[in-house]
Amino acid sequence: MDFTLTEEQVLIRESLSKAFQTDYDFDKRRAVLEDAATFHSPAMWSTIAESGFTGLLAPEDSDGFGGGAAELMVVAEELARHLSLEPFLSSAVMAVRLLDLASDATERTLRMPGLLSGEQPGAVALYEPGERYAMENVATTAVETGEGWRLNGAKAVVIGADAAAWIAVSAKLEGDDVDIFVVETDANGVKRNPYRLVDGRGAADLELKDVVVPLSARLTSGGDAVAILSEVEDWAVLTMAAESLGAMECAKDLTLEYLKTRQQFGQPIGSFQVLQHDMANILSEVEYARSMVYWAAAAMAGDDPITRRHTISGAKAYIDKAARFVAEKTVQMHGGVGVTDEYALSHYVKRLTLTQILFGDRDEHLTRFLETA
Amino acid sequence: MQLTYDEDQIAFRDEVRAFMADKAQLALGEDARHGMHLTKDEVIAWHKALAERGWIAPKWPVEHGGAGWDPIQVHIFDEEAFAAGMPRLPNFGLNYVGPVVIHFGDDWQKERFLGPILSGDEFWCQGFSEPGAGSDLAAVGTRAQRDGDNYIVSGQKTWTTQAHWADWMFTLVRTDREVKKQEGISFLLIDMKSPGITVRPIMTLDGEHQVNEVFIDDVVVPAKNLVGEENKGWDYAKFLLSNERTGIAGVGQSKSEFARLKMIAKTEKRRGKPLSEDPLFQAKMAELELELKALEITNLRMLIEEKDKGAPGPISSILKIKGSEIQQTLATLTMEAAGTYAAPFIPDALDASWNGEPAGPAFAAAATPYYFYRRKASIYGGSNEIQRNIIAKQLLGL
Repeated sequence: MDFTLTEEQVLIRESLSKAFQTDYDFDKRRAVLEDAATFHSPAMWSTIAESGFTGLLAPEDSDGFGGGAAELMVVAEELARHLSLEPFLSSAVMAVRLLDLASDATERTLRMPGLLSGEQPGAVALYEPGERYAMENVATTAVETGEGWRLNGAKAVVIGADAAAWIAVSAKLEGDDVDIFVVETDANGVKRNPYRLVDGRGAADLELKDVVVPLSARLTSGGDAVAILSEVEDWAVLTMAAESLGAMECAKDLTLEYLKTRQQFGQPIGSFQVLQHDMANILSEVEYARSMVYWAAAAMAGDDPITRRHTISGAKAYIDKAARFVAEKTVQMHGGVGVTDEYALSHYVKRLTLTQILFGDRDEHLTRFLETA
Repeated sequence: MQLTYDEDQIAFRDEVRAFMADKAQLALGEDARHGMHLTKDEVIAWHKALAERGWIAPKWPVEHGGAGWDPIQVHIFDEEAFAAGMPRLPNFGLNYVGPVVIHFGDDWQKERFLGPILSGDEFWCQGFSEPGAGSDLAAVGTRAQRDGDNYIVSGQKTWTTQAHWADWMFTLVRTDREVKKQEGISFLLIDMKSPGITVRPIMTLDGEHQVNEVFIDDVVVPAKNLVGEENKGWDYAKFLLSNERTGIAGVGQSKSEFARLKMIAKTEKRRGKPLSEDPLFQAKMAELELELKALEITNLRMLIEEKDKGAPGPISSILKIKGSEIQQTLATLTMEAAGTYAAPFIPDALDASWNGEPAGPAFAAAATPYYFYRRKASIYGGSNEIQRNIIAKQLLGL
């Protein structure tokens, strides 16, 4: 039983934090947010890549760091603290895990270097329009053409698709098997509709119209595609959980500071018991959420996929509730300043709102928690 | 990040488990084990078994007859004991006054009081609360006037759990009225057989007699029963209360109650389907299970902190709040699970030894009384509002 970070994990956190402090303060980040063409900062993204964070979850034999859930937890928490807009989640978590889980050595050797250098980011499309969080409901089709596969269909809210060089998509074959295919974003017939998400990060809806990909673009066979995508989704959920924790910690700290400095009725508002009790509840929920992130991280190391899903879903369901409570409460406790764009709190609140939505909301994960019991 | 027990802890758990299996005849029946009121004999039988094994005082140092366990071992033991259905032992002697005597008592007091606590020959009750001193505990007004080798004590205590069983009562008494209220309090041990002590039962809304009023009329208490220094009692009380808050999370008991609720949900039906398949009830169960999981892991985090630092910090307040809320929700859902049979009110069913005619399923008889019984969880040990004050002041600096 041990809840402490290793020296290496502490080092990871510190070096990441340092990189953001110098190149990505609140004002610089606001400038990135206003860029209508590129939804993140290419300079910051290369710093992240050069420091090796893009390879955090890649195996050592692919020149990665070989890190696991605990390292991801540390990094994601820190990224949320700095309100990162960079495509870490889509490329360094989802695409890296997908290549590692799904593809044979050739495809991995081909694509992993681009993910690690940050120059060829990837993304993974998990859901289709109208299907909410049901990855197994795939209407996109793949038909063999002789020299390759022809893909037709649509994918919803693909995180990081705006910046990706390639996107992994699931498609249904004749006979109803589902497999995963890699699609280059500049291929004929690929249409992206990019937009910013609630917290400012980029995503896109994806339309595939007679897109032809080579035979080698098929990453799976034999019907394990949904299981692989589920595991990728679990990694994404853990990332959301840890990001949520980091954002909650910051929202909590900002609010406590505000209670101590904001004067009304001739005294700091933190002297009022009703706000003290709200603050005590916030502290308490953040601590419990932290425990649930630890629970989720520990589960990623386990072998049994059902237990892993059960734990990941349970943790997400709990953390989403805490996130909503902390986000709404901290805005209320700030009063007017809490709803302004120029103050950092609102940006943490947006982050906390997004983490509740992505990769399964609370109802979805409560249902999964029950289904996997 | 390692959320599982290490090898030594697993070996310890197995040893505890084997002991529980060996003493299975002392376990309470499935329907009697969950927070039910036990007879003194049932409590003493379990107490003696643990005393014989040297496990009766897990946290006490070995030289005073304790087991010398660390906080994780204590937690493992509690969890196993609840899972095995063993009776819960009163805290007053073993966990409250015992450590105070060990830390602040003199040699005579250690010699006189620790042995009978360990053996189970003497029972204790806690004389802290008064009609005018509840959440504001430092307002205690019971007066102790020095008179030669004695104190003459007059006043009234209330909410005194098991005063009707107790041989001794540890009290906070006022020895100086001229100073700040926290600085005029002393910690005095009073023999319940002393002339001038009157115990009057308070019946609670669950129909049970657990708590009492204790009237103290010119009771003569030998001055050697004063623990530590005169007027330093508040410090000892704070020490005691921080011990009270750890373990108040009640993880072991709540896990065991949750397992029971899951069994109940498989048999009780709503609209022809078991509650375990009812979407509304399932959702409530799932949320409760997650609350309990969050409590369990957070409790372990704090136990490790306590192990490393030697004392529980004020963070234990967050455990008290969540722990009591979970205990109450468990009781609420169990009452809901009983359906119409939550309506018959048979308070005697709360006694572990009760063998009357149940109305409806066996668990249902005690369900509503237990729901009532659990209301006090968010009140005692410092109400949850007081815990939030502690968090605000000590952890947040507000």
